[in-house]
Amino acid sequence: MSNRPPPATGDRANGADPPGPPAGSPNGHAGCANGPLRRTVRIINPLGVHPRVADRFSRTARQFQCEVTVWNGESRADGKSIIDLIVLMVMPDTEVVLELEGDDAAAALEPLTEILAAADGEDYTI
Amino acid sequence: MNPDDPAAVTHVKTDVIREMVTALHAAGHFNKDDIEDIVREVLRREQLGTTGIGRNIAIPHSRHPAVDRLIGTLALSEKGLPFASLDKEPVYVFVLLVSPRDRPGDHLRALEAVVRTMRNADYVKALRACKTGDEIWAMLETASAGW
Repeated sequence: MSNRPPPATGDRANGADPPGPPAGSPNGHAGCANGPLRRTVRIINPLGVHPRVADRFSRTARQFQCEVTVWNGESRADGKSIIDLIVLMVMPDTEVVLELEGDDAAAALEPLTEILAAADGEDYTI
Repeated sequence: MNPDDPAAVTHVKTDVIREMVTALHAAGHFNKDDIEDIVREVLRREQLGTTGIGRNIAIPHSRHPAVDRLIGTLALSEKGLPFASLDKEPVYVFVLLVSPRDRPGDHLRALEAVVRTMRNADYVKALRACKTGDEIWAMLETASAGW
């Protein structure tokens, strides 16, 4: 992890910097024609990506056709699987990389980013 | 019973959770007076979204000030119980966790450890085949090496 404070969210043209996909993974922008769409998201929820967040995220991800991958360092999870997301164990104040690949990747980016970046309101029930 | 009847499922959840919380009390982890409040908290969490995560596993859990460290217990159902699981399948393995309010990191790590272990279908199959407490402990020991 870099020591410099990253933004809460931000598109990343080059996904090779940690955290995220290992070096050599394809970079790109929106849509499968240009490779996967990636965005770095900082987890500000004080409980991290806990099961309720994982549930919301995976349910939303399944509404899209594109492949949804969440990277925590060099570990990755299928974003459509709540089990995968829990096992990814994303702690608070961590940066993850959201990677989307498929025809509707651009449409999925904002709603999925919003779930990961949310502070989760005032109810911090895990 | 009808697994699509929300009231019936809530009744099952309440029974399972109360039995497991009572077992934790019997093991000396908190006072008898705390049982019902812990049950309420676990059920409140359940109302926010089922902890029946699929693959026949449920992990009801909550944080509560009555405990000073993370505690948990495991229960098996031979017949399987409706738990409003994400995959709509019955639950055979229940892991209940209660942790202090001020240690969300421990709570998240425990959930991860349980889910990581239980996503091994062979492990769950062997666990479900256990007939005694000693057999279950032995299975948990094999898992804990990787926790």
